Amino acid sequence: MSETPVQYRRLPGRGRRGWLVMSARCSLWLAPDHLLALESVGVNEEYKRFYFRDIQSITIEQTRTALLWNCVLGVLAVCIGVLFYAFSESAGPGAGAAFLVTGGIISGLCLLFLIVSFLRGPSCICRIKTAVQTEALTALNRTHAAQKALAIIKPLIEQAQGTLSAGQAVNPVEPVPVSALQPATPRPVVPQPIPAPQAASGNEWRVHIGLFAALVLDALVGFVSHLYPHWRLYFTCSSLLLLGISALSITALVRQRAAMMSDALKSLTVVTFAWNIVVLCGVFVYGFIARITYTITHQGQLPTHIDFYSLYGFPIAALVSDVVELALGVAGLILTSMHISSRTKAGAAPAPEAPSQPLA
Amino acid sequence: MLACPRCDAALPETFFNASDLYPCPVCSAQVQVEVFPALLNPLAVGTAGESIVIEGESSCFYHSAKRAVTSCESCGRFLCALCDLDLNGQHLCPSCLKTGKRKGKLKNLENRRLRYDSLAMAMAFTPLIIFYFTILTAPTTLYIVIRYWNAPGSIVRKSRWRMVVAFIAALLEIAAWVVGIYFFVNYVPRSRR
Repeated sequence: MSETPVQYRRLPGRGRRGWLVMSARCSLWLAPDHLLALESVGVNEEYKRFYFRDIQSITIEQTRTALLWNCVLGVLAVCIGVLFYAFSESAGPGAGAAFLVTGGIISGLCLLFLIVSFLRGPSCICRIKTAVQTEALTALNRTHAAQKALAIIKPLIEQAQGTLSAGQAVNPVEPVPVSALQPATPRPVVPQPIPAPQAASGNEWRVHIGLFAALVLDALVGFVSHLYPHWRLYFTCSSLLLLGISALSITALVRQRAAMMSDALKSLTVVTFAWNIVVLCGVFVYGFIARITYTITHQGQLPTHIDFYSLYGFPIAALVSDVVELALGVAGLILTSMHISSRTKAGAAPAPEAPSQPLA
Repeated sequence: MLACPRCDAALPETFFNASDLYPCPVCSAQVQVEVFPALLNPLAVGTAGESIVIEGESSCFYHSAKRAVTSCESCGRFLCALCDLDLNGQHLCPSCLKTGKRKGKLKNLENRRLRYDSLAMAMAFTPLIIFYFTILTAPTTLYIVIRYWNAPGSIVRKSRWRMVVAFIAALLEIAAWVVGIYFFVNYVPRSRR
């Protein structure tokens, strides 16, 4: 019953499924008679085999995920660079160099990821269909890699199954007649009705409203504190709002996954979440560097909260942050109100009926 | 008929095997579709065993009233059409299939594998963050490397370099502990311990 070991050849493409520690590294391997999708989770490997004789179709759907990430990385690189440059300008010579180096490293890393992501090309979802399942190939998450892999796999599948003429795939119930190998007569393309939107829970926008309203409120608190400085009040309000925005952005991200929302609103929520992460990291890194440099320049004294927040260009950074938050909040409120109004219109109009018979 | 993966609308046949991305007529998503003849094949239907009609005819090991059509290539038992399991051209009985899957002898059915070489590497290097743990993990790494040296590694990569690296790292960690303890005992004054 023992078998000879199969020799595998790696196909282009690599990907990850999941986040952080529990994420799986995905790759695709080629054997003489099948395709092996490998997922590596920690010290375990999981395998899925797709035999060439069983593969019915392979689809590649281009997505905007990479474009969105490129935008986020670009904005991050620029914002971090500008912020740390502002810090370095207002700090002393020693602390300024520390800020420049730190900012350079962080924004350089963002730029590096951006370049790598850009070179890998647009993102996609590649699905493989057999008689019993449709499986997404996570390893092929970029269009270039997917098309390159497809160019390798396709001849092998055709070698195992034969080729299919253009007109054959319209009616899969009929067996393949010999005459079907002749060029099929072109059939008119019947326009398909746009499928009715799925029924959503109806209140998924409430979290988004809360999130963008909190952003606007945080920005307003920031502007007021710039006009009438009261750092203790500002620190308390801003910290509470930052925590609230963090919780709301995570909740909104989770809830919008199953909701029928516009791509713009979903993307804006993702950008808001990324911005929130940047602000949290920025506050942490700034606090760390500012505390050390203050202690060095003031012979071992620890800064009070007033010293801490009035040093090294913090007001400039806070102003930039407030402007970005206000822009995100206002844009989010507008998009959410558009979403609500479109839902109201869709609720008022009768849903389009599904066709009683298949059109093709 | 294939549907657009984003909007589920049926794609026109001009999309099939076009070898490039084209916008879906309904949702404008860029889609490339490659279809193969297996799409047209009807689902294979299993056959029930035929009853024995002639006296003395070979019967299935599992169903004595059914006519044997083949024998298991692993254990040699006669099998009816129902019990004959075709695995890539290899005819097996249900019992041998189950045993083969459990013992990992049927590589085509293996869908999960614990990689001991990765485990050894993780045990050797992760505790370096807090070095004190290596007093426990280094001997454990040596045990894993020796005990599972012949265990199958990754299904796609056959090399054992991870095992070798983990073994050397564990030896170095143990050597570092021995040297450290030696210096602590011989060179650190009793008053400072």
